[in-house]
Amino acid sequence: MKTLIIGSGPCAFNIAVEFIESGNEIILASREPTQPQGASYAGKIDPAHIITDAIIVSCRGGAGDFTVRMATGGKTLSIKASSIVISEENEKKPNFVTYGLKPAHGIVSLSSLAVNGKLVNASVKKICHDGKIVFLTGIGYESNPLSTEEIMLAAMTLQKDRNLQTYILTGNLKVAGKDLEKLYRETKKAGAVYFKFTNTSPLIMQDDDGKTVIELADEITGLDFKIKPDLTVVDETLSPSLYMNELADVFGLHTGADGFLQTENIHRAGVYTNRRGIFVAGPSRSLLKAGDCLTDSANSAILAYGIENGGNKPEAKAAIKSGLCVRCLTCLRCCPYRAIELNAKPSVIPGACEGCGICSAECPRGAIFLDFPDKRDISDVIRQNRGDIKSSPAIVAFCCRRSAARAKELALSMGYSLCDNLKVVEVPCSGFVSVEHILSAFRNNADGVLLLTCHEGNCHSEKGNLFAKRRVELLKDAFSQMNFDNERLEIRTMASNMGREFANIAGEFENKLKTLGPQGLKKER
Amino acid sequence: MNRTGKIINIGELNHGRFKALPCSHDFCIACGLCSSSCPASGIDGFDPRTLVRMAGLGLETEIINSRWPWICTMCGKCEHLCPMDIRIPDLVRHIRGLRDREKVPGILQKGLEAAMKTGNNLALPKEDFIYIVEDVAGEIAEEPGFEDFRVPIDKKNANLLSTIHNKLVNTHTEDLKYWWKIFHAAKEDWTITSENWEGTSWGLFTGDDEAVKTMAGRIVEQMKRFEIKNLLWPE
Repeated sequence: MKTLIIGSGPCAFNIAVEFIESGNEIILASREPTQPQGASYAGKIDPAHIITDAIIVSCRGGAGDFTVRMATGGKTLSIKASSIVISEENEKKPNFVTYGLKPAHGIVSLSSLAVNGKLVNASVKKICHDGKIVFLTGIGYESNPLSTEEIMLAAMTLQKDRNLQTYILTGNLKVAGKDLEKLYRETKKAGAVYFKFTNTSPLIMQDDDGKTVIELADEITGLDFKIKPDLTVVDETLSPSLYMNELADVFGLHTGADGFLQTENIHRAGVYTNRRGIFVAGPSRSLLKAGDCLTDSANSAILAYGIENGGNKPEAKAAIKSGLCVRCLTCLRCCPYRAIELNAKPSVIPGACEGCGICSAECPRGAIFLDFPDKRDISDVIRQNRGDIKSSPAIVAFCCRRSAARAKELALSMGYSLCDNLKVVEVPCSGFVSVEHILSAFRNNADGVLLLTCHEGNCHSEKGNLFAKRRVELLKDAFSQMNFDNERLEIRTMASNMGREFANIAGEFENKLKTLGPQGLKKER
Repeated sequence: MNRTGKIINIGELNHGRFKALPCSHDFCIACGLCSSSCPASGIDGFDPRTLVRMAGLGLETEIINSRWPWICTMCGKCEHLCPMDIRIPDLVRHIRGLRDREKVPGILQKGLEAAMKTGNNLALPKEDFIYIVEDVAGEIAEEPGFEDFRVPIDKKNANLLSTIHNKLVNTHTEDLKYWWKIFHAAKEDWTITSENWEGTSWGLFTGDDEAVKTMAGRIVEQMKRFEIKNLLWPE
C-alpha cells in the first residue's frame, strides 16, 4: 500500500521526496497540468507516480484502506492508499487595493519581485544606482511571517547586490519564525530603513508615471518625510484556496477559524486532522516557512509509516447491530472522524473509528455499542459502582479518559483525599455518556452524578464534550419538571493536569449533596 | 505629531551617515526603555530614543545643531537598560564632537582651550600655582601633629604622583588638605608637578578625542620625566 500526497507546490513535492527516500511508495496528485521541470525534486520522483491535472472527487474507506477518486484529463481514476497527506499551496492575493494602488510598471506585488530572495522582476535591473524601493506590508491589517521573510530577503539582495536603498513601511512586523529576528538585524545592517505605523498611516499616491509618491510621519521622531520610490512593492494576503475548501468537504476535515484544514484543538498539533490516516502538512495547515514545511513532511512520513503498520489502535470500536438500525443516519452525521460509511446500510469503517462512542449515545434506536477488547459494558460498570447506602452521599463521576480520569489519578498521587463514596466511571469520551447512562447511575443509588469532560475546543472528538453538555442540559430541564433536584447532576470541564481542581470539584459536589440529603428514588438493598 | 511643519525629502538624507560608528544604534527596536529611564527625558523635547532614530535616518544637521546631545548628562542609564546593547552615550559623545568648536556650549570649550594652551583649564601661571599650594601646605603645618608638613613639588623617583582638579587651586583649596594629610600620616612618598598638573579632561564632554589624548599624554610625560612609579588620578 502507498501514501497519496495531494498538492501542487514545492511542499507537496518535498514531502513526496521525503517519503521516497525513506523507502515508502507514493502517488502524488497535482493540479498542475504538466510534470514538474527544473526544480530540485523533479528528477527524484518517477513521473509514473505523479498524476497531473488531478482534482479529487471523492474518498471512501479509512486509515489503511482509502479509495480516492480523482478527475484527470477528462477521465476518472481510482487510487488505493493506506494514508493521505494533503499539502496544497495557499492562494496569494496582492494587497494593491488596500493601499489604493493599481499594478503598474513601478508598482508590483511581492511575489512578482522576488522568490526566496531571488529577484525575478526584470524592471529592477533598470533602476540605477542609489534608486529607492519601498515595501508596503501590514499597514492597517495583520501581515504574516512568510511575507516578512520574503520582503527581508529581497531587501538584503537589493541593498547588497544591487546597491539600492530599501524602505520597509510596516504595521506590526511579523518576525515570529525561525531566524527572522536575525534576518531583521541583517537587513538593518545592510541599510534597509524601517518605518512602523501604529497611530498614523502613510499617504500613498499613484502618479501617472506608474510610480508612487509617499508622504509619511515617522512616529518616533515626529518628523514628516516624502519618498518618491523607483519601485513600490506591495505584500500579499495568503489564504487557503477554494480547492482546499473542496478538499475539506471531500475528506470531511474540520477546518480552523481561518479556513486551514486543521482546527486549533491540541490533539491536532503537528500534522494531525480529525481523521485517522489523513495528515495535513505545510501550507494546508497554516502559514509556514519552508523549514517548517520540511518538518511537517518528516512528521507525516513517520505517521504514515505508523498507519501502514497498524498505527495507534483506539481502545474500543463502534459496532452497529444491523437488526436494530433503521438507517436514520444520525451516526453518519455525528461521527467526528467520518468513520461511518453508507452502503446498503450504515457501517463502521474499522480503520477510521476512534472509539469515542458519540454515535452510540446519539443513536435513537440504541443500535450502536462500543466494542471493548475486554467486552466491558459500561452499564454493568455503573451497576457495579452502585452507591452504598451510608452517611456520605454516593457520587458517580463519568470521567473522560484523556482528562478527568487522569486528573483523578493526579489528585490521589498529590495526596488529596477524595470523597468517601466516589465512584469513577472512566469513558473513552464524555460524548459517549448517554442519557440512559446518567439515569442508570441514579437508578443505582447515586445521590449525584458528575460529568467531567475536556475543556471546550480540546475534545479529541472535537464535540464530544458539547454533546455531553447538551444531554446534561436536557436532563436537568426534565428533572426540574419532574420535581427531582436538578442540582444532583453537574457537568464540569477539566484538563489532565488539574489534580487539585478535581479534588475541589468532587468535594464541593459532595457538600452540596449532603445539604440536599439522599435522593428519593434510592432502593434499599 | 509633526515638530517642524517641514516635509523632509528622504532622497536628500544619507541614512548610512553614522553607520560606521560602533554604537549599534542601527539595531534600535524602538522599545523606549532608554527614554523612560533617562533623567533628562522631556527637557527641550529631548529623549534618547528619538536621538537614536534620527542618527539612524541620517538626520545629520538636525542632531548636530540640536541642544539635545548637550542636555544628556552621560549617566549611562539608557545604555544599561537597552535590550539591544546600543551604546547611546558613545553616540551622544560622537555627535557632540561633530559640532563646530566655536558652538560648543558654555565654559566647556573655553576651559579646554586654556588647558590645551597652558596645561590647565584656569590658565594659571606656574608661579601662582606654586604660591597657592605652598600656602595651603603652610596652613596644614600649623595644625598639631603636622608641624613638619611640606608639599613635595616635582620630586624625582617619588612613589606616587597625584593630579589636581583645577577647582582645588581655585575655589576649593580646603579640599586639597584631606588627601595630603592622609599621605603625610601614611608616610607616602608622593609628589605633585608644577606643570601639567590638571587632572580634568573636558574633551570627554565636548567629544574631542584629540584633546583627551593630549591631556592624558601630558600626565604620562610627567610620570616619565620624574620617574614616578604610581599615579593617583582622582578626576
